[in-house]
Amino acid sequence: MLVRKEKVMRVYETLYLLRPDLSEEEYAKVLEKFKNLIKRQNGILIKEDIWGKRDLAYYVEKFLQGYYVLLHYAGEPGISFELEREMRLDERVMKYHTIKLKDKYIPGDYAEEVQEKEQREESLTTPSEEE
Amino acid sequence: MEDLKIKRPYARRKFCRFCADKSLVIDYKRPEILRQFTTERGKIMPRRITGTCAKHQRQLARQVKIARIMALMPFTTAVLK
Repeated sequence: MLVRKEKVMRVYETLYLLRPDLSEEEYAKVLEKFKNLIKRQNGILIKEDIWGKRDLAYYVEKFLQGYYVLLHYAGEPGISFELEREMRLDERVMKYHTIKLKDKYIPGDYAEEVQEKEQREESLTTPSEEE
Repeated sequence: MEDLKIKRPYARRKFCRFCADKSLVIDYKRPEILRQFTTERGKIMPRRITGTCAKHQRQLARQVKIARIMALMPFTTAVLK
């Protein structure tokens, strides 16, 4: 890996697909796990969008349904590798895909979303997503 | 050109829908939009049919491919049904 003097934060988007046959608690656990992973990697979670169960276009591990979760987060370049590695090892994750949204993370750009996220964690209310 | 004109006098000029409508986003997370640019079998329709401009066709093809990877869109529908 390239050694950088300056720490660059990039913005990533990861969409992952979970097995459809898990319980609600299990889903919550998985979601929490990846959120914590981002935190542990010194990343910042910008947005978590739970799509929920959706029909798939083709069979994936013999399922025609899956549970989609979309994450937006910022972190140093290695963060997506860590996250993907963890997803690869987790049998509950069927598919994942990461995209780099921005080369540079500017805190102010996402302030509202981060706040919204924190509020949600505190009050545990139903997530309100702006589209 | 002359022959074409005689055969299809009302052939409308095709235009790029993404250029015309800025709210139409090309995103793998919106398969319902991408689906309009694929055949019912899931193939990406050529530019000469849809009239999409080169720039947007490139983006479109890429996003369709990502959507396929994430099982949001089919590679082909031959197996199902």
